[in-house]
Amino acid sequence: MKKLHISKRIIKTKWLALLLVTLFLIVLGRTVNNLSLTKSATVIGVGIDYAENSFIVTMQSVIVQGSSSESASGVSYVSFTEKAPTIDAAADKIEQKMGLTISLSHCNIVIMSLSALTVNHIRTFEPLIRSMGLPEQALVVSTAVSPEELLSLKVATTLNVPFYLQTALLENTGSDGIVRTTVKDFFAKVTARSRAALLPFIEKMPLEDQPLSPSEEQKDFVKLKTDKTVAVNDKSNAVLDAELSKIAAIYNSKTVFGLLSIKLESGEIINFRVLKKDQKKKINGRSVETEIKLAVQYEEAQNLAQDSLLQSNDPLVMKAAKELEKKLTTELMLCYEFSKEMNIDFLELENFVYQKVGYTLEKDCLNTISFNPKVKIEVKETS
Amino acid sequence: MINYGLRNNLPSNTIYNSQVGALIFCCCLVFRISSLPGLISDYMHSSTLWVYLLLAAFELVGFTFVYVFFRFGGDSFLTSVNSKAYKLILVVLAAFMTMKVIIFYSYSSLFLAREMFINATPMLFFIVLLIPIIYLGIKGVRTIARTAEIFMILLFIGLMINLVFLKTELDIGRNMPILSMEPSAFFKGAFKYGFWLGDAMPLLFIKMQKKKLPYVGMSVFTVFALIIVTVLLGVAMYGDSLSYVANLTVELAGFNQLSLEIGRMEWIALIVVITMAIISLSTQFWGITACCERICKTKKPAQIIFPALLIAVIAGSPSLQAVADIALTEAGYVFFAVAIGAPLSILAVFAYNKKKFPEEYEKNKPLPEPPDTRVNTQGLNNENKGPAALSPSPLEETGGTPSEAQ
Repeated sequence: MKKLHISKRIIKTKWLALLLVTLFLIVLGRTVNNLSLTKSATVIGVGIDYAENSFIVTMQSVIVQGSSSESASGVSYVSFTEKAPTIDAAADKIEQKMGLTISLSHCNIVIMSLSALTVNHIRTFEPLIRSMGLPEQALVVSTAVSPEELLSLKVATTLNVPFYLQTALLENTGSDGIVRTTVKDFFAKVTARSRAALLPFIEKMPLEDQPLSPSEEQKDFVKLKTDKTVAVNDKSNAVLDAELSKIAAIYNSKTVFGLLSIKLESGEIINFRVLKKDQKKKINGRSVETEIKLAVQYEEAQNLAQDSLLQSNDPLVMKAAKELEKKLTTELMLCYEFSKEMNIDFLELENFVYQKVGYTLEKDCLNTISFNPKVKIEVKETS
Repeated sequence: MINYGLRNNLPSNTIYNSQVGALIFCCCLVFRISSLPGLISDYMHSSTLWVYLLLAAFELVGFTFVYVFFRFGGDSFLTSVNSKAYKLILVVLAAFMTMKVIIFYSYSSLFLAREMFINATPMLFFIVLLIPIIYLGIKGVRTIARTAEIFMILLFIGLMINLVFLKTELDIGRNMPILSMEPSAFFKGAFKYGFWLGDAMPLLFIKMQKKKLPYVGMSVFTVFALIIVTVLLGVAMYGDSLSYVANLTVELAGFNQLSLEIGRMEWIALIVVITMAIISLSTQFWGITACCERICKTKKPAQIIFPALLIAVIAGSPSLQAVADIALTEAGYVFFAVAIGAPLSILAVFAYNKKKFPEEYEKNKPLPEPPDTRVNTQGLNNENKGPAALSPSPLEETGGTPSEAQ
């Protein structure tokens, strides 16, 4: 009986020891941040620019104001920018300026200027991930204006750029044909044989009609265009126009949705909505053949000679689908020509050939690879 | 419900096959799905998965040797005949396991200090990790096995949550080509990771009590399936950038779709990795003490010297990274040779002595198990404990210290 008692005690001690150790580690860790919200700055968007051998880092943060009896509690968004030879040093300066501890664990957007994309990509992101806890699911975008300026803009109803881009890109609102590249995917692509990735390219446009509000006059709002992409590799980058961006997004994305529009020679405009994408690749030596099958539904037609509505099996719809096939195939071929011209393999052709040929494939051989794209459109009858 | 009184009646170093399965699960899984994928990817690139498959084949062969040895009661027999060759191999094994614990302990501490708990002092992790490892190692294999058995289901669920709710972009094609370099360079590189083999070596010193289900086989299958699936997904997710991933299991948890609803999920993987690392390292520590017991007739030197050595290495080393990097040097080939060669040599020594001392083997031979020992061991009388349990431990006969039998 005595033995039994000792054993039970040992078991209890073991549980207690393991529980204490586990709790000890969790409570002290970054995964359970014990910093008070009023003493920390939760960064929602980071911008990185590069000029004169220095990084210009901008961080937009949510600041939770104190809730003492004298002051009203609330939330505000502030942006701080600092320039330093390293990203860590710039972040330190921002912390000193703010008087708050920076946390990137809720940051979903990283905005890179075109010049920042010319710096070693891994070294640029490494301090953000390792030291500041940037999630690898955060989206990477690029911009024509400086990230500092972009983060200071007022857009639409969300008031700040990171939330707008998060909604537009992550939740797919109004973002037909846009690539979505996370930090993890960006790393995977730029370290692959092709060494190239596509990023959404954000442009600032004037907003002619400022939003109306009964309480106060609204002004200085701008519109952000997200329909272009920038192709990046370790040496250079190049911006694709909206049409090429759309087909490049279809080619590169696993799931495709959104509208495809075609204007026929006779003037009719027919719209289709993409339901599903299937893509097959065939690699034969240094030749890559790809066939993209898009299941679409007929959505809308304008500029019609007839008065009646079209059905999905109407010959005009079928003709439009054929024209769209040709158009998309041509655009995909233009993407290939553009990638060869810029020597940025954003169609990942070198990757595919390398996977088939193996280690004997020489590096930087995009110009020796031929590409034969084919796009097929299947119009589905839906309600 | 666990009947502690029943389990205490098992002879020294005897554990159930379900507990052997749990030990295999914890020991053979953790370091292969955490730090190793990134380390292999750094050199082997798209061949990472294929290196894993190659190493898994060798590990299975090594484990088969270990399994055959403990199933035939090799340890009791070779101890009773006082085999010099066995003792010599145990010296090599003790050195192998000592290096394993020192290097894995350095890896674990570095990971926690650098990647997870940046603001805390590294000494905190050394102490926090050291206490349970030493505690469990001294308590013995039955305590470790029970701990592993209790935690295993939670660890398994934690890992499955990681995999089932994984939501991210994957490209399985990133696992190709199989040979990312010339075949000679591939094989030269692949065998350099021999340090990660031989995690089941301490099982050489156990005796197994069977339950109805084939838990060992189930566990081995589960472990290798989980390893291969995790690495396959890891390469599909990261491609060559997998080399920047310090701990794949923790990083996978970051892409758990539940994190969109309830916040970051890394803590689940963190608990899984830490718990498994503690169980794995304490099993290796117990293995060292078991070697010492068979060589010196007492565990005490190992129980005192090993923790002191570990603390001395951690406190005295100018760089823990340098300690951890030993695993990636040419020494890896030596570790590979030991991981496969040692159990094979032990088996050969066992076969030779079995032929030489057939009467002694008959005395130590484990008797066949009854159909369902779980039912038959419900009482506390000796006749109900199963025939294997009736044979006295040679160590007990030779003055060993069966400290776990209390």
